Amino acid sequence: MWQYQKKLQYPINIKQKDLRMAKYLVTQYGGANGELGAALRYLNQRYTMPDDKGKALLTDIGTEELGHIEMISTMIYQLTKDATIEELEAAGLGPNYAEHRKGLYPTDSNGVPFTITYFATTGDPLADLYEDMAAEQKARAVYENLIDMTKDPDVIGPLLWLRQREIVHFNRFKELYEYYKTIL
Amino acid sequence: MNNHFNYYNALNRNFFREDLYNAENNFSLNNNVNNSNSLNNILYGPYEGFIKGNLFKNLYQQYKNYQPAIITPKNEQEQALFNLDQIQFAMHELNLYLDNYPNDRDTFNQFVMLRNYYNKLLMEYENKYDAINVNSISLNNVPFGWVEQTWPWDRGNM
Repeated sequence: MWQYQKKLQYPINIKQKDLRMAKYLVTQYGGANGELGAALRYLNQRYTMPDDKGKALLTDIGTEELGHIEMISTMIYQLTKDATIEELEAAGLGPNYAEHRKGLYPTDSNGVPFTITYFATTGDPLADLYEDMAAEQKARAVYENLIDMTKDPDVIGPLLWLRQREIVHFNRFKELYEYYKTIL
Repeated sequence: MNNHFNYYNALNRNFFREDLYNAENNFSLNNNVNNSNSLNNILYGPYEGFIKGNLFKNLYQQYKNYQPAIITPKNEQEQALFNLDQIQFAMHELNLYLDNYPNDRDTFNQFVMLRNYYNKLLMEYENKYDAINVNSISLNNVPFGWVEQTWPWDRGNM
């Protein structure tokens, strides 16, 4: 089970409304390479890992990704909370407002809703870990795209930090993959 | 690579300066002279690791010439939360490492030191400010502080 800790893993305090950036950033919530997909993918794959190391690593990284969903959600919320309907419409978020008002809704930056096909589980530990390594690299690349699209240091700081977490996770998955290759 | 990041400036600003000073000597990085396999060359200190998002020197990859954000707590509570964040992050990084290398005794010993320090900081924080966990013994009266104390996305600070 899980128990909530009432704090963010890394502080977020965005002072400037930015609907353009919110529209792009949402992909790290509900996109193919986003944090929701990562969390659910790892927590779903962990049951069929061949030993306790894999169960531990996928549980602990999957749990951290839940904290990253909260960080991304907080960023989207803070970027949009003071917007008027007119501002949302001008930023191309009118359709989003019509469906969800200001409720968070996991989509990619094109508005395509989250789908469980992003889980990408095969049940083969080597294939699953390779998928996870790729997922971390893809998320790193998307974070870099997002960093390149803003000048707001309140947004760049957390994005740099989340990008770095993808690098650490990639390396931990890679270590486990290399180990499994020798024993499976 | 810029390794300076105002670690010592941050310590000077620190309301728990003594604690973090001890933490740095214990966990991080200087004086384990008897330990030939010293982690001091492998790990960043809790502050530098936290702002970078990576405790492991060999894994850190800077993006272009962006530097990690310098986090500046505005009051005593924010500083206390920041201390908690740093130690918890270092502990989590060692946790992930130990998942792959559960027999690494040096890393485990560092993990235990961080855990003990974290538990102390957590109890101090919850008693003085807000509950982080719903099972905190600081939640001992109505109105139920879990509800009333500000939620993380509304803090507008740390």
